[in-house]
Amino acid sequence: MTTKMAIMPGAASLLAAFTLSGCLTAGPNPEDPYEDFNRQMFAFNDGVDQAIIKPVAQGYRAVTNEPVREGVGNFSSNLGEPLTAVNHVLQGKIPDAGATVGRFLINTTVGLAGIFDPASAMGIQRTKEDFGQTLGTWGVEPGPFLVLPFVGPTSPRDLTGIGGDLALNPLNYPEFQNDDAIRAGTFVLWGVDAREGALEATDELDQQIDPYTTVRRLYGRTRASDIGIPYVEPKDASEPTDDELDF
Amino acid sequence: MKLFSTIAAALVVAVSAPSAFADKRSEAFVQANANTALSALNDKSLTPDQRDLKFSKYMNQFANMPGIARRVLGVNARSLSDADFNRYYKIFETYALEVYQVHFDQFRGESLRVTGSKDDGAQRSTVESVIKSSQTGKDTKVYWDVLLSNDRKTYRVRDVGIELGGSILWLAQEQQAQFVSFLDRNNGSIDKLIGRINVLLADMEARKRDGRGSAYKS
Repeated sequence: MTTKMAIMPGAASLLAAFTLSGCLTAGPNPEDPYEDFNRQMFAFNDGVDQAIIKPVAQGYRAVTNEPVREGVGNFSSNLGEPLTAVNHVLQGKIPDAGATVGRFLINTTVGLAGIFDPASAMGIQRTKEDFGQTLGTWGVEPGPFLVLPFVGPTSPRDLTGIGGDLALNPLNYPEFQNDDAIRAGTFVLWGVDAREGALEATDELDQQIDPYTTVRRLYGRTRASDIGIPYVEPKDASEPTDDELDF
Repeated sequence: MKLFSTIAAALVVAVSAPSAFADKRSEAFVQANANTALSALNDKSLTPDQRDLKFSKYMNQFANMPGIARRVLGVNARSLSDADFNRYYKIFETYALEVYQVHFDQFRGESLRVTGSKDDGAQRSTVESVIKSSQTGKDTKVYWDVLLSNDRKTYRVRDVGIELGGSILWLAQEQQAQFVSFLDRNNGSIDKLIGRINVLLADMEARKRDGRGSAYKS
């Protein structure tokens, strides 16, 4: 992939993040002004998932055993380490950046291209940072909740973050033979592995009264936690009604 | 006369002092009942059905289930007739107990220790507790929104907050967000909500039958 190609999706994502909320019509729910649009996209993504992605992930689980899947997961995660290291630096977490670079070097060499994870066994634990988190630590507010086709739940901040990650990832820059095909292949592998790992979680989601609302609330909570912002939902401040106290 | 005023004022303060509620009784209520419910889940002498029944019985003594059922409907509860509420409550209770059982199941075999409490009003307090995992040694904080009945004799839990990854998940509040959202998008139809709960209950039953277990987890 050329440098230009690495930066273009980033720029496109950035542009989308800034223009999307302006194009959409805000609804009456202040917690979720684009709810109608989001729900349509949520249903679309669910349809794609049920028709294609989930069956592929189930098939992948059926034809592989756990050690193989663990190796694939380690390999995919290892490719994300340089990006995590860059984001650690941008967040001023220099020791964490050093540890992540160390992990990458150990797992890429001793761990046979990241298939094994000797770094964890050596006590260097995996951390994960993205540019959305970096923006969050810089004080950028997430903005309204969004669900986009194929992207899923996000926010203008995190959508910008996706673009930033594409542009910042050092592994997107080296040019070699068939680099685009190899990058596309590793992306698909990462996607299938990630979806396989989430099979139980999405089953749980189907058990909710309103899965969309669950995802929206979970997304805000998880991202705040990723950034390190305490997300302490206050206890319901409403006074108990007489009915509630009559027992 | 001045002495009489002073005594009267002191009496008023003594009677209305909110600190009277967050006493050892509400803490003892949580300590005893939460551990009883947890031990019911771990009772190996029972069949799964018997365990469910025992857990349900304890939870009905522990939590204000009708109050929770009404609260999770939000403003929609006001317009509900008694007949509609009873119809809804019948399946809500089954569904909520199933959900709570799965949430509590993560603490199966562990014991809870109450660490303190604070007043939130004349008939309401928050009891704080910790469950230590015997496997990981990790503490999970669990918060209990406790009500005192109008006759000041009985305590019941209104909501449970579980600390997860730095945030607190209040189960009834979470349910309320979903129920209200569902009703908002279905013209407040309690029949549609009952239909949705029935679908979920049928799925939960099917999962139990074929050994997949409940998919509902936090």
